[in-house]
Amino acid sequence: MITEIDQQIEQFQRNFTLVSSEIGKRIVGYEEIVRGILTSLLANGHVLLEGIPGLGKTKLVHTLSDVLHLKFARVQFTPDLMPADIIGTNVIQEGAKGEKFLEFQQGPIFANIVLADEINRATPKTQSALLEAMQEKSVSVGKRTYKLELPFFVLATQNPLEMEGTYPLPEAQLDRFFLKLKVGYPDMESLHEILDRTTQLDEPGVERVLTGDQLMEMRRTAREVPIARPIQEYAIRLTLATHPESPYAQPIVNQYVRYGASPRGAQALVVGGKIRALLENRVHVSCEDIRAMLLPALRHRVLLNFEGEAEQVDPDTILQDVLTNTPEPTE
Amino acid sequence: MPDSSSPSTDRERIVQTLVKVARRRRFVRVTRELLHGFTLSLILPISLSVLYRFVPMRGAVVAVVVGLWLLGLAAHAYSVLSHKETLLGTAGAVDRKADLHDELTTAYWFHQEGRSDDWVAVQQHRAAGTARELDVERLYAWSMPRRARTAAGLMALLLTLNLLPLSWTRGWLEARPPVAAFTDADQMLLSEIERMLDNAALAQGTELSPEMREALAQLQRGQLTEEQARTELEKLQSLLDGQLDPAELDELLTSMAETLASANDELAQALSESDLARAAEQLRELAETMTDAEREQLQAALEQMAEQAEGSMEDLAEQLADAAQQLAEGDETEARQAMEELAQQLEQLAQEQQGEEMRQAAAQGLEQLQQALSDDPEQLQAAEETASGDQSAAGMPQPGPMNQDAMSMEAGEAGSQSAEQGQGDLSAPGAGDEIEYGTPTGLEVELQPELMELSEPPQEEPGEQLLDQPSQVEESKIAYEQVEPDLTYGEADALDPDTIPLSYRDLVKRYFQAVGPRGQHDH
Repeated sequence: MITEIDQQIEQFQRNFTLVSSEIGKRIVGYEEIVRGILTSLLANGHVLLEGIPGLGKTKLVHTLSDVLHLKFARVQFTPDLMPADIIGTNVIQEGAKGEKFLEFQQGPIFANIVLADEINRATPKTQSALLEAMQEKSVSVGKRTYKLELPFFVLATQNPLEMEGTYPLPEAQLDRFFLKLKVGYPDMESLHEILDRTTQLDEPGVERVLTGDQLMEMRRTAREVPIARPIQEYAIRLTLATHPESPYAQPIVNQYVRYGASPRGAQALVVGGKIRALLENRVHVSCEDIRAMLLPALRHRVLLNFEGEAEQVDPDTILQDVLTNTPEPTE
Repeated sequence: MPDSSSPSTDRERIVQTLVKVARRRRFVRVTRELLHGFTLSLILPISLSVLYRFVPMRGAVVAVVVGLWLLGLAAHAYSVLSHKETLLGTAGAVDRKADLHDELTTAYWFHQEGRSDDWVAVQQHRAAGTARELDVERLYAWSMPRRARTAAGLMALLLTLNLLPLSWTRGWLEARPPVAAFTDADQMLLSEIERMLDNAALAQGTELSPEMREALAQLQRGQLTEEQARTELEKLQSLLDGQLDPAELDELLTSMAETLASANDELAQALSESDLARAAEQLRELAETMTDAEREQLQAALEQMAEQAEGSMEDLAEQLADAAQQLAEGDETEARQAMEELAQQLEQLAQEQQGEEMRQAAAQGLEQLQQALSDDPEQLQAAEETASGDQSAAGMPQPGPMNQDAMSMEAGEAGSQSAEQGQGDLSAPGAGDEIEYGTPTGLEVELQPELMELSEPPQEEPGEQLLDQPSQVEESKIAYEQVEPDLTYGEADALDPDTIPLSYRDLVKRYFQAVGPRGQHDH
């Protein structure tokens, strides 16, 4: 049995490395982002990518779909985008004998990987159309509910909120994203590499290296990793520390935070930690794994109060403070 | 990693390693914390030693501080030794120390909870392998903590301050036993005691015994240790004991006076006042002038007195009985002779009584010197107070206002001499505690009545009212409507803080101050 599990872990790592390296053929300098996206994918979660336009967010998602044997769809969110444009709608069809009937035309949501590009340019109403699909993996149109094909993975990109023509995502929808990854500007070395690859005649191609079944198997493996109660307690303590007036809250939390992270945040810490542990060739979750997941898993789940918004406090600063001041369970 | 090992073996391996690490960590922690506490605590005795150089302290103070220091050390050691770490805590610590990413913590927790599945078995198997490769001695290597050098340095300083015989140290090793440090006042007291004992011996027709004189001389030379001085004082006290008991004598004389009251009032009065010299004179006078009736009464009284004196004062009883017998026989010459001998006996007794009083005063002085040698300042103070009360009556030297300055100056010199010698006087009283006795003070002032002029208390002027009269009759209440505001409407409006910005308030205030008092400008 030990050998079998070791093989499982080895397979998991091999597949992960394969996908990462394939993406790396086209995407330069975003290893951490790629790792975060794949972690979300393996954790059965969704990812919100935030960054200024032109950093290659869309290209990254495109590349991901290219390396996976999965159906891909892209939705460009605009202010006039309607929910039906995403989910689909019933249209009147005419049969062979001339009879009329309603037929459901699936929207782009009926894919395995959905790229919601510039999600914060659509109105909250349209943004919310994604809610049911992201959480329940199904959509309801009229009186019928349609199951989405698994794996289902939403990758949303958004511009920083302070930019013109953007609508902030509702809190309920933000909570449905497993991770929020901040895409920063590439460094000098990476820019050289990008220019070398994209200013020639042919762009580097990628191969499809992972099937949906393999992905589902990797998901199962990730969930098997055991976690000891003290480590889980550390994740809970970190989550509770983001809640103002909680026993673990730091002064900065009490000052600037309106609502802390939900239990989904603690789930994200633990599941993300499990995947990280496997990638580090461990069969247990450590506090270090939890710490590594803290910022991407909780930064969009910490809601600032008026004072925090007014002073433009970065949730990452608050989370760093929480991280510094929350002792490990065995300390 | 041998696959043959079973899960139970893996768990045992993990627990064994953790137990070993826990012991090692405890050893290292206990050593360091004890050393740390000891190093910090050394500051106290060092400070005490340094302070002692400038402010000599009593032995009791030093003993209390050192006792507290040792008690604190013991409490610290108990707290350090009683603290025990759990194996889960040990696992966490070794995980952090060896960068094991909570591997042992997880494995031990699963073992503790009794969880067993395939993944847990794999995890514990890996953890057991890690535990096997763990070099505990190297991971928790014991090295001499840096603080140990600090502790050694502080210890050396402490020993230097106390043991080495340098000019600026205490030098306990070479210091002789502390010499009984009698102050000048004590020396004066010793001289006075010797004088009183001489007088007492003279009064009793003897001389001061060589033994007592030698003891007093040794004390006055000031070369005895405290213990020796104490012994000499006790010896002197014992030599003074066992003489005439004044209380017993007083009691006897009182009862004799009661017996004699029917025969002769004046003689009885002298006896009741313990004035034996006057009683002897009265007896001689009576022998010359007494009538037959008086003789009979006196004879009966003397017989009773002889019986009373029997057992306690045999010589006196014999003389009384002899005088009574001569009076009974009627031979006037023999009777007069017997009464003369009785009078002489009373005079001798009077001298003995006077000598005994001096010996008692000398004994009190000795007791005071013994108190001065003791450490307890409270006892010393009490003894001084008692002695000063007794000495007033017995003619002992008292501290007088004339020599207060000299006394304090001498005391300071004595303290500095003691410090220079490095003898470390633990038991001697502080400079401020020394008392120098001056010449005896007698109550020779007779209070004279003084005439004082009496004057009548000033009468209250009619029409003038007490200030609080209105309030006493509740007329000081003023209706709210009748209270005139101090400010005009314009002033009040201008000073209303709700309408004036904070920065303008001072300006407005200055304006109204500038325009003058109310009434000149508000119309």
